[in-house]
Amino acid sequence: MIDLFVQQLVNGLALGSTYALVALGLTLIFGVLLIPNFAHGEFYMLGAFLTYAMVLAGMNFWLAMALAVGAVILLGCLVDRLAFKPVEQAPPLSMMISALAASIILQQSAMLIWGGEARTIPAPVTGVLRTPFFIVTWMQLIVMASLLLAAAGVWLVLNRLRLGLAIRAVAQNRDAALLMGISMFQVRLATFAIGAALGAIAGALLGATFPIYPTMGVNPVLKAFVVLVLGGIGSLPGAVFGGLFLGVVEVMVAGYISSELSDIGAFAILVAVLLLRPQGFFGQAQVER
Amino acid sequence: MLEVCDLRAGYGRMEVLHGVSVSAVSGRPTVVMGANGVGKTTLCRAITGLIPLRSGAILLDGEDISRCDPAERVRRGVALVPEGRQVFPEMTVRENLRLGAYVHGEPTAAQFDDVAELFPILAERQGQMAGLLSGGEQQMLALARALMARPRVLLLDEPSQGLAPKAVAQVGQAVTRIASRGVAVLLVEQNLTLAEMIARHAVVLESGAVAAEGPADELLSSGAVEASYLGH
Amino acid sequence: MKPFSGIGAACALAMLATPLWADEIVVGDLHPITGPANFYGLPESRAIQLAVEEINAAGGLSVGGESHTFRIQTEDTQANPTVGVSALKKLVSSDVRFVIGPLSSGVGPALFPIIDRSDAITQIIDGTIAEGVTNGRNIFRNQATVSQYDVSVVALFKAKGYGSVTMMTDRFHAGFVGTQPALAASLKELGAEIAGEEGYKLGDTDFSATLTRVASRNPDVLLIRGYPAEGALITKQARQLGFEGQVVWEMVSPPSTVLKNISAAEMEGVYNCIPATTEDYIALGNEKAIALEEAYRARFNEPAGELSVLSYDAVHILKAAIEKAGSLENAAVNAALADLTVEEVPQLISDYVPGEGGQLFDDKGQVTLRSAVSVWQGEGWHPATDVIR
Repeated sequence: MIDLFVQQLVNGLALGSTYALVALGLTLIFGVLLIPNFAHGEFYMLGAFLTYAMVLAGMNFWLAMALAVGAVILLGCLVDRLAFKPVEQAPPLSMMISALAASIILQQSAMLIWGGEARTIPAPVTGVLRTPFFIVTWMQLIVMASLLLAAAGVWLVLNRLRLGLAIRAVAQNRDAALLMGISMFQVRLATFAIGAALGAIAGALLGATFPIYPTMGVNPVLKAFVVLVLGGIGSLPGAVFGGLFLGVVEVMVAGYISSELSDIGAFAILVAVLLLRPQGFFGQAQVER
Repeated sequence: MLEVCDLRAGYGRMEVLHGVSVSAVSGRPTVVMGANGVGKTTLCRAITGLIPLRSGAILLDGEDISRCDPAERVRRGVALVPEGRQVFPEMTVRENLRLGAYVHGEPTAAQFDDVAELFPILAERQGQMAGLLSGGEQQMLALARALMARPRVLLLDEPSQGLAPKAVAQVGQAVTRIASRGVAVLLVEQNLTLAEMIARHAVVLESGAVAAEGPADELLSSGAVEASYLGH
Repeated sequence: MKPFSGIGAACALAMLATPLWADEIVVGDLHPITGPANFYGLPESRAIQLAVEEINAAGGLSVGGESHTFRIQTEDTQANPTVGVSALKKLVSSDVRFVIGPLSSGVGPALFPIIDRSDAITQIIDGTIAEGVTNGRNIFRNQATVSQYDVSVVALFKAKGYGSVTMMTDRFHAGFVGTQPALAASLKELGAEIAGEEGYKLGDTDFSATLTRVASRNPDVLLIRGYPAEGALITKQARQLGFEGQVVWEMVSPPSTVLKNISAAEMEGVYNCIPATTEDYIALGNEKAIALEEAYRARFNEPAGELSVLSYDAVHILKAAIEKAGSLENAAVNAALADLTVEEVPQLISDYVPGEGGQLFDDKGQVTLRSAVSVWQGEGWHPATDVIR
């Protein structure tokens, strides 16, 4: 029973890492620019498909992933220019609709190119690590390590670079940031680039574990929004711990109660958190902007 | 010096300012007085470029800056201490100051020393989150932050708002010192005490237009301001 | 409105209403040509095309002494009930009275009430395995039902004498969910303990929590009932989590789809309990299946799909029934279908078990396909001759 618990905990952390990796980019873009970027799921999907296409053409996985991340960064900036910038002054609903539209267009384009059938990127690392207490695949360990690296990377950018200072300023108070002479153009570009890169990294890594198909981004983004609310909107540690927490809860519900209930369990937790701590684990009580 | 000529501005379909002309000259701190809703904050936002002009001009030392983006106006020397202070609450005092100097790159040690001399309390608290400072301290920080941009014109939007009388006095002293260095000061206020402390010239704004103008000591004691607050 | 567009529309309508060739019989081809299930649907649609071309080239059909040819009108269901219903309506409004399809247990039940009420449509289902979508009057099916899949599962358990099983079922697949209690009862009767009944849904990716539990109980068999992408993932993750028992699938699963989600080595030895598919017939040396495969490759430059043989059969069943009826009236064709014997359709590829009077369909309009089990070896499925002959 105990070793089963440890195994389930590891399962939960592995699953949670995938949620957190997707949530990181989403929380960044939402936190800084207040854009509910539904198209984040498509950054994720395209990261996976581009990596898949290049690996299939014979390229090394890591190189393919790097190129895919580059391509998705460009795409992310383009999506911002075309879908979000033009409705910047419009009511929030327009922003939502625009985000959904971008998401659907990207999905359908991928459907036209690759078709709807599910497939998996040949994993760069195979095999499992067997310890006396739990079993974990090397790929899952890579995902967990990537989550830590990605979170640390984003933290460094935000806290050690001048650009990061500007990004944080915009996140905390857009008007005041403009008064400091911060260029919104640069901040938007950088935020979308980092967000898209995080999405693409998640896609490439998870595409080597899970099947990829054009609508693969829809569920993870829904989960990532849950993670955002759990962890606190715009909070990086919130995204990491919120994701891990959600993964562990889902696995524990599926493992000890019923596999039928894992989604219900997750959303029940969400409702509970909203009731008890509306700003999330790591969120500040919202200061009016 | 800053000259605002016949400025019209507003939000959406609503025009708030219907042709306002004011100027801020070095050595002659100017106060714009007026009741709530006459367009004082709109004036500040239009001058700094946060909202577009409908017509009119904004001249900085004779050059029209009304088409520049907010960053360019800051770079050229227009700094605003916004209403409600608007410090970055989840950043340290030092980071707030760094952001003040953002358009010019990283601030020099001399700039930090200058701020420390003007506002000793900020030097003591430079590692603290700005959101944890008291209202008066936050106002000092907002002032200091604006100063980091090395402004030629300093706009202050209701700096006395929500402050205890003692803190208002400190703000007044600080602004007076800044003005004495040759920075043109344009103060937008409701509070007579602070206006009298700082200003040498006064403008009374009524429903989006200038209602009266003159030397501060005459205008502020003439009752014109009170009359305007009471809507005559 | 522009003055000419009205006239243009009228002309177009007139052209649609009068068939260009009066001796053409239009066959509605209703399959998922696009969407997530098109890897099943497209090879079915193409097999219909091949069968029709073959029949037309050989002189077409002879109905009451007159010769006719088939023409196909293809409509895409996208494996989506709503799209499927509007596709059917399109066929009906073009006056198509013979329909082959659909696939997927979402679309079949959605079309059933519409066609069941109609006396101007004859349907032969070549795809969905959902229960309760035939009526023996105007709706027939030459595909197996889920219960017939289950027959193969039971046969496998009987042959191997497994002691325990955990079932993992796609809980949105109405067919599999509906037959699960009966299957569980049959397996219990054989002495197999039901160690667990787990659910998942299409699109799930992480099964580790459930599989950890499965591995800890270590049943003899993990039976997976659903679609192949999840089937592959569950198989892979079960192995990674240390499950060492037998993995058994119960689903039509093209090797190309399987291999996009799991390596061939990890699939080695997995059983699949479904009636024989195109590949099995080819492997068993069925000449008609081999001929279809060759024609398919020549035409589309890839191997035929698992269900292609059923679609091919369906066209020949329809031809035989129309000729037997000697009429194009739906009522007559329906009666002929109900009465048709396996021997009367010599072109059939699949292995249909005849009824008592030699009939192809039972009184519910359902065929019985010989049960079969295949096993994964190397790069694909092969008939598990050690289990079932």
